[in-house]
Amino acid sequence: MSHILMGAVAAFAVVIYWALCRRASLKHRAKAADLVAAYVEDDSHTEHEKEVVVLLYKAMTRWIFMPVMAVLTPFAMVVMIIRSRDEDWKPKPKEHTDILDALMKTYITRSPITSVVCLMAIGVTMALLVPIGIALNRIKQTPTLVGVYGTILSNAPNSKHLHA
Amino acid sequence: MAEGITGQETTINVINVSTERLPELLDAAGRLFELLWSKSPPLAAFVIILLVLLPFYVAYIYFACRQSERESDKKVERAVRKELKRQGSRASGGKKA
Repeated sequence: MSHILMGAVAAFAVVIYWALCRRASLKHRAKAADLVAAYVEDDSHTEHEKEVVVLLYKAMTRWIFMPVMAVLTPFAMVVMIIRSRDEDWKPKPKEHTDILDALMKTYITRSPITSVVCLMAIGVTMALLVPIGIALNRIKQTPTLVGVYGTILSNAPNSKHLHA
Repeated sequence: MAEGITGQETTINVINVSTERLPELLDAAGRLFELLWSKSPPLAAFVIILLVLLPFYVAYIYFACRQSERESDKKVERAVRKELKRQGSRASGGKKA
């Protein structure tokens, strides 16, 4: 009987944890959607920038995003170190940072365990590759997550139009 | 829709949906549960109760969260559609000029 009770308590705890996380992420998702909509409607951004932001919204509202990024980060970092372009290192506009911040909050509140594991993997990758980049004199500024994600997403297939 | 020879097959639009293997699968699931119960009873109880709770969780997510998530996604889609329309009108305006 105690086994069943233990199992029941654990199962209820898991389901309540899932439900609470999902519910908590809703307000961040709504804020992120507002920011992305405002960004897309703003005329001062290029079509490609808007595409990247919409792609980022779509990707970060899915569970698979962070594990994929954890796998792709070493490649993105190597690409950034090899080509050493100014664009990759220069600070991103405030709007980009705000959108990524809201989307990150959405993802982290929705899947806290996955984000902790993947962010740790991303951190370890950066910790290993940044000294190599500095030693080779290829890194111009400390890379940020926005920079790395921007590099990955800006290399995503560039379609001619935005896709709803 | 036609019944097969054994009475356990059903053909729906040429696709054969066989229910013959269902008892075997249930048997295998039962054996797996027995094995799990003999190794760790709390884990077996956890799995079974989680499977029972899962439909309630899915229903809760569908009715309480999906609507709000869809609303947010629609907001972005509306903005994208508006932008595409604007680009289209700008392009056609450019051609006229």
